[in-house]
Amino acid sequence: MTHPTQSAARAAAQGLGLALRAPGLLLSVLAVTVIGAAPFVMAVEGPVMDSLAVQPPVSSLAPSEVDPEWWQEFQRHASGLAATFAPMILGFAAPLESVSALLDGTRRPLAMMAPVAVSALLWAFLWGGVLHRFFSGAGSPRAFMAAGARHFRGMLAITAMAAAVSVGLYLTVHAWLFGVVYDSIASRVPSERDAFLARVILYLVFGALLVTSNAVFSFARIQVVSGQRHVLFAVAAAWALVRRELSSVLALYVIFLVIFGAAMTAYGAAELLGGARIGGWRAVAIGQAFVLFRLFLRLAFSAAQVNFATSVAPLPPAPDHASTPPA
Amino acid sequence: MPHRHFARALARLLVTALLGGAVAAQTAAPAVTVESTSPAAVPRLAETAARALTELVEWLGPLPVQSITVVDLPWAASTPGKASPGTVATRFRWITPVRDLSAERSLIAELARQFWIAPVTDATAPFHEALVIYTATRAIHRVLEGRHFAAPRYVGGFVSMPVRSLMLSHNPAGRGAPLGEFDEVLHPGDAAWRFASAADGSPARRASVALRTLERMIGWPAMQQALAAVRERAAGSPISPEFFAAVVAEQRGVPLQWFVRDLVRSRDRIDYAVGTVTSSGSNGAIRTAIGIERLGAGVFSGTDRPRDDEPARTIPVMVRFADGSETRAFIDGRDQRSDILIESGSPAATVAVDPDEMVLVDANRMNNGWVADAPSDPVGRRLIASWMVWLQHVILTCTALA
Repeated sequence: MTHPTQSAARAAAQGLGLALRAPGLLLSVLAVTVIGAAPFVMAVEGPVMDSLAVQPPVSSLAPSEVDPEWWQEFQRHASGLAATFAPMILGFAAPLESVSALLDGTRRPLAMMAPVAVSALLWAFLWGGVLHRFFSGAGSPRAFMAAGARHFRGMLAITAMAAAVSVGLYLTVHAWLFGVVYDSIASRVPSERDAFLARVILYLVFGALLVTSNAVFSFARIQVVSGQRHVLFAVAAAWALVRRELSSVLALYVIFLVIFGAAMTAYGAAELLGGARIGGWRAVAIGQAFVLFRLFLRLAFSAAQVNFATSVAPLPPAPDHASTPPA
Repeated sequence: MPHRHFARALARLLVTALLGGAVAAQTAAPAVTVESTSPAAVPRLAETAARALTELVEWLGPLPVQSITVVDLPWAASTPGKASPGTVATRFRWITPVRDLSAERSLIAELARQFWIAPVTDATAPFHEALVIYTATRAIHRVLEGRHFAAPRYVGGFVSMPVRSLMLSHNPAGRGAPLGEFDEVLHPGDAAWRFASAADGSPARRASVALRTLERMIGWPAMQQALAAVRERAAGSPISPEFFAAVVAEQRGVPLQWFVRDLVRSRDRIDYAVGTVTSSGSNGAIRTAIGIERLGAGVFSGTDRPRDDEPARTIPVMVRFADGSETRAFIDGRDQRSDILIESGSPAATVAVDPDEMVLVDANRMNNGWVADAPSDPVGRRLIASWMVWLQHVILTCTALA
């Protein structure tokens, strides 16, 4: 019998290899991500440019430097999406803020619903093509588009269910863990370090729930691509798979989280340590490269999950619906 | 009960010090002692306290105490901010990179408060608090100039991430009172140890902005002399805005009743905006009509002369034309609407009310400008690109959950 870590590691290695051999897919996904963000960028661009146009020049600042006073004033009066135009958008603060918001359940402005919803729709289409690519090996754009269109409804339903479960977890478990429980611990521990450790443990507890939920819905997507037409049966089959192979599934998540954590640490260290002052367009380019890396990890993780699901075959049979065998 | 928490924290630290767990550092006069269980905190806080005290004494005159004790509050003690004569409290967080100066900001804010500790009345309390906010903010900018970066905290507030490309205090002597405000000075706004509430929209906040507006009008040297004179003459008694204005007026030889009436005592919103801009004509003879509106009930008169006299030229309006030339007109801040007519060789490209940002009491400066066609600012382009990267990160994180 294969050790859970071994099967997870093998699947992870295969997933990374498959993603590396699909640069076209990576660039296409990046293009879709950028195009999905573009309309919202235009909505923010107007107020920022108008405000800067009437801003008096500050003699002590280089022409390429940001006037912090202008920024503070802009933030004070900005609304909608422009209200998110804060220093957290600069450099490493951008990915750190998004991860921190995930951990702390930070509420975003209502205006952020629009870009997130548009992206969820785009990804509901992309998942079909991406998983089909890794499941069948068919790499043509036509096959990708056809699979995306064929599975769109199923993927959208799974996305809606996953979103509902995540929101439910944040509103109940997260609120309890980081409200009553954390406050009670933090007021009792003698040092800030102990409070932080307590918080990290709570992150791990909540993270385990999120990972389980994510795993179920991710494998449900694979079930749909593998031929399961009924979304609820796909979710049930995925749940059965996750329960049966829990340690391997968790090991797979840990492997990719370690890779992501290592990349985050390296990025943060490059900005924090040493005398380098990464700014200007170089910082933007590095930030965009990190987005590309995150997309690569997402594709690799999906490929690894597909490999893992097929390696523990047979996939749980659909209760009463005929399944199409993998191409 | 912040006082009790503070006392307990202080007592605990003193006991620790007696047992040899704390580190003490002495600096030059006025003497500073730092009590902290964190060795990393002591040199930083001692150096900042010494520099801040030197600066503040030079600005405001001597303190009535011989030494200052800086207490680095332990975890779970009430938030820093409270000051009693000779003692200030700050908090040096566990994860504090060299470029995160939040502990220093908190320390400077409390040191500034030391200079204004005095019995106050209900009528003078907001202005007293305003003096603290104003001098503390200015001292932070001055002392930390050139090494002061934005450092937001993440992951439950435990992890600090300084943003090196955003310098908060670049040159406080440049265009007068800096606009930047700090949480360490303003929060918690309704703390019991304040002379008066410093919450958003409070009289103290408005008066502090009024003081910065005055500084931008008369310059820092005159403002500094006025502050020192006010403090010396008050000699520990309550300071009212009328008393302050009288001292400034005496020094400058012009009455300043408008400062107290319009900027400090009034609760009316002051807001000037560019209303309409139209250019007509051709062949190098363009007539540009500009309408400046006073949207709020509040006024910035800038003078004690009655409005019936000729209009006061109190607020500048800058007009930049398409050919790059520029001109300035002035409006009387008391007028509900001011119409400006300019003849030029090319149409107006940019109009800005108060372009030098003197009237800081203007509640909304985002409507102070008009642009025919916003040029693509290189800094703006870069910031927009950064925002786009941030948005992609948020999207990736959110879609990972669904």
